[in-house]
Amino acid sequence: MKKLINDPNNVVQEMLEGFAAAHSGHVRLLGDLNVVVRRDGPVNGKVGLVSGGGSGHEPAHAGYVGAGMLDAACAGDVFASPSVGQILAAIKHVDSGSGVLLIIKNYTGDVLNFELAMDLARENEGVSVDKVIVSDDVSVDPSARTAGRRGIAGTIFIHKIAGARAEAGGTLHDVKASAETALKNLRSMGMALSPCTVPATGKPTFTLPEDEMEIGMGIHGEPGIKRTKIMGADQVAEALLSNITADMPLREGDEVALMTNGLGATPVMELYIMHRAASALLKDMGVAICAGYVGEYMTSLEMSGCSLTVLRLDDGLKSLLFAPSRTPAFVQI
Amino acid sequence: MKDITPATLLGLVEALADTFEKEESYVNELDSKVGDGECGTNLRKAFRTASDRLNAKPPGDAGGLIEQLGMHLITSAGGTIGLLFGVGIHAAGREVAGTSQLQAADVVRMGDAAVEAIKIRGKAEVGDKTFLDALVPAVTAFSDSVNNGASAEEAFGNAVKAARKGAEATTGMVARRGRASYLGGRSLGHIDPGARALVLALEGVEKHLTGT
Repeated sequence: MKKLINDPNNVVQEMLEGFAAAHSGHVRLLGDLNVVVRRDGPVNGKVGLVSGGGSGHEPAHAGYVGAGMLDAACAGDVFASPSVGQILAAIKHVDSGSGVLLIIKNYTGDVLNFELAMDLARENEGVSVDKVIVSDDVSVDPSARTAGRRGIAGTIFIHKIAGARAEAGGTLHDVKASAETALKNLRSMGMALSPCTVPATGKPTFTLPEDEMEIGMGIHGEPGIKRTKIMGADQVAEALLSNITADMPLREGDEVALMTNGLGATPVMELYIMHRAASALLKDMGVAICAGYVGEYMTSLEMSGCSLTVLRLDDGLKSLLFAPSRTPAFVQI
Repeated sequence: MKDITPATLLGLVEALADTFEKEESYVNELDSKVGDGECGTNLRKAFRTASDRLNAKPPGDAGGLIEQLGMHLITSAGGTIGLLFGVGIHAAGREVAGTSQLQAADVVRMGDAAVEAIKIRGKAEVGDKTFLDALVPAVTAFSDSVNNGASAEEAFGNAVKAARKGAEATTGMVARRGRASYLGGRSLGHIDPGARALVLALEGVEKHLTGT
């Protein structure tokens, strides 16, 4: 294992200290809890938004804390959910009396910890708390035989949509409704060329022969839907997008936002090549791309590969997507 | 078998923290076959933190102490397995809150309460390849043994044996909950790390309470 770290046990804390130092205009740390909060929060009268998850997906989720998006992000150990204690502290901190919405990626640990914190905040602290669960990854069979579809890069759009609604003065009910509308119109799928290595274990999360790729790979190296020989970017884009549109059919005249997200070790050059292919495919279908996003939004340490996310837009979602936000990793002017 | 008093329990929690420290890499190794290899680390951190917090301010009765242990695990563990241990322990403790010295009949009720809480919170059933597949047979064996007139010590021994057998049986199951469920049929042939960890915990309890 070759990594630019000090002690594997301290990676999360040291990363967050660096993060807070770099973005002190936007955020600060909540004590030593590995919770990042808005510098100007809690914002009076506004619904508080709390998200979080395992570390290793930077800039998610701390990068989305700031005006127009999240009020707090809880960072767990690498690829492990934050604790109930962290989430509860975040909920209490961001609540200004208007309630708190939790944005949870659909993983067993995240759902358990966030739901328990929600129940404790309601019962013991009297805070009005609700939740949305993001499960945008179409590569998982959503039947009862699995823990359900995973939450991946599409989560950033939920932060943006819910954040804009909260910033505009929406009630907890309104903010949740907007997030749910976005969830219904949100699909993603990823692929990987090479694995990542969790600092604490020092071993790659999976192995993939030099001439193979995995279509549908999750952001912790969970298995996808198939392994294939290396294909060109155009073919990969088609494989990902065809699964997305099979699950959420797009019609001529539809408007979407398209995100090409790098998993940590894919050159930005390659992400643009992927984005080119995906854009062309959507245009061929007569779909208008109102907004494009290319970069690292939800990574998987140094995994190489990418994911595509499509958010189908209506007028309401469009105005929320284009509302201003000022966060370390997502700025909308 | 020792009397289950608050003092015994404090020692037991520390012994469990030691167990998970010793077994951390073994449980991680099992988890790396079906999950992401952090199950052992999660348990080690969860029990050590809970033990430290409990020792800093120990409740005076056995039930309250167990309930508090569960709450410490719930709030501090993060991840999945440590939290689910906490959910079960918390429910078990709540069942006997205010009891200063536990009897076999109390332990039967505690086991049932733990299973119920874990099923609800974890949205899992027996057969899903989770630690319930070790816990449920253990609770049943303990309760059956007590009903048949066995001593608490014999009953607990039977419970540990049943847990071992239940954990082994997860090798032949396809995971339907947790991260392992994404593997589908590829989870076959691997033991569930949570079930194995539960066996380690029960063995630790047996050793501490009976000195065997």
